[in-house]
Amino acid sequence: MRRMATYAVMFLMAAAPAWAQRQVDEVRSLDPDGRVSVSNLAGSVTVVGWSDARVQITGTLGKNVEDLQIEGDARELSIEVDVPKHADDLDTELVVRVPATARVEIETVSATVSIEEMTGPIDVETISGWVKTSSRPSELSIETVSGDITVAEAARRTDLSSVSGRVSVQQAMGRLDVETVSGGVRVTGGDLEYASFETVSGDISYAGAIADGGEFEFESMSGTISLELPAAVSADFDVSTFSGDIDNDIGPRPRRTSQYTSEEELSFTAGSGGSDVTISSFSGSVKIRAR
Amino acid sequence: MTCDELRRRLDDYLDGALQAEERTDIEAHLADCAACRAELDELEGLVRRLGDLPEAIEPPRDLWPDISSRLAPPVVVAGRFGSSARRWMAVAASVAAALAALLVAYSTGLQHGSEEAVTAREATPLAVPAGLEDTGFAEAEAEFSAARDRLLATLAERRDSMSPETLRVVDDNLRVIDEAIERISSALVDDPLNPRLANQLASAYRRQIELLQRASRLPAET
Repeated sequence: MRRMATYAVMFLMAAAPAWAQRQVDEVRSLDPDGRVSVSNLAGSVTVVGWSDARVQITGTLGKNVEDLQIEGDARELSIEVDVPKHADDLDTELVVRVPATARVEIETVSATVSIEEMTGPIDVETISGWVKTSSRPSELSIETVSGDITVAEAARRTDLSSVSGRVSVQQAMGRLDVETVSGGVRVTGGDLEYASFETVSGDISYAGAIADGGEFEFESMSGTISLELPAAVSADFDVSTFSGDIDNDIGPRPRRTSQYTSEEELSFTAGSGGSDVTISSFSGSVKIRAR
Repeated sequence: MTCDELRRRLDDYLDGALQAEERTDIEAHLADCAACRAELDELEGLVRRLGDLPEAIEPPRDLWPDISSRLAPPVVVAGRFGSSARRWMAVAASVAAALAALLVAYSTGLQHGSEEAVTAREATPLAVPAGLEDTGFAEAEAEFSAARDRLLATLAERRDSMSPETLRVVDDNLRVIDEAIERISSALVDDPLNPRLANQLASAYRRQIELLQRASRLPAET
């Protein structure tokens, strides 16, 4: 009898982790232009677009998660992981399939966020979670504190913001606004018409074209600003720095603007002009290279 | 030397950019011409007032929208003054207008949507530069100062809810901007008619305000 009891206890102990990681498999209706919000403290959120007018939620809930609340209707759906205060073991892994054209809003603390196959507008806010998108939504807004942001294909309008998180964008297009405090910014490729990059101490790196009629602004306090542009670029450049160096491959040398400071400025037209490139830094260096 | 010739050289005279012979001619004319002495006095007063501007403006601490776009377009000025009194006056007016616009725009930003907007009653007034009493400078500056104090207080209250890493990033970068404001302000004292410096200063103010407000709004991490 004692042996059976021991076996029973051992069985329950072995089964506990499976029970602790409760499985989720829920389905709700959602209009193709509906809105879905997802809130998950820790773990991960993966949103995958599909052609169904439904939302499917699968995954596992953390051991100490209280509940997964799903509320709303086919126009607006809310998915929220309920957690107690001051608890550990809250990591919840969610995979949410939604109509690709729907609006998606995601909020996490440390949970990583992955967006795939979405064409509708996306809005993500997280503290330390890494945010990664691999499709081209119609609009994209991501805000983090320390989490990195990796965008494989930017939207026609993209707003990215972080405090210390690094921002990486490939195939940017349309309008792109990036703002960080200390996080580095790297943007490559694409077809941008308007771009604004602002940082305090992070480095900014842009390697891509300058669209005809485009407007590009780069601003840093102490971070380095590096541009790698086509050799045949056509743009009007206005570059200034208070105490940084200007290193320019595609135009004239900078000149000092004041006999009282080391401030340098450089204004010139490359090619036939037609686009505006404004670069401003306090102590950060500015490098303009031709590809 | 005629009065017109002297007035064309007054800015260079004030800048100390003239040869000794030219200075002697000017001083001889000034000794005998009350009208030109009055003109010289007026220009010297304006230079002093403009020189006071950067020191009189405290760094703003709240958001104001697109301030750079409201500033006068950059004008490169060689040395302390331009080549003529008329140009010098135009540039002086441009810088004063830019700095006043900076504060007026900031004030407008507060009135239209800033969560940190505070009334002028709560402000700790700073000195208003002579000659800018009628530009809205004082009113804007009062709101500006109050909002700065409010944001700093908000940030102080929120420090316990921020992670050490985030606090360090915020503090480090506030120092970067503080240093920039200090150095640019100092440069403006030496070179008050350089609009690029005014733009740099406005930009540094804006970055500091944005950072403070952003830090005050960060979600709790602890």
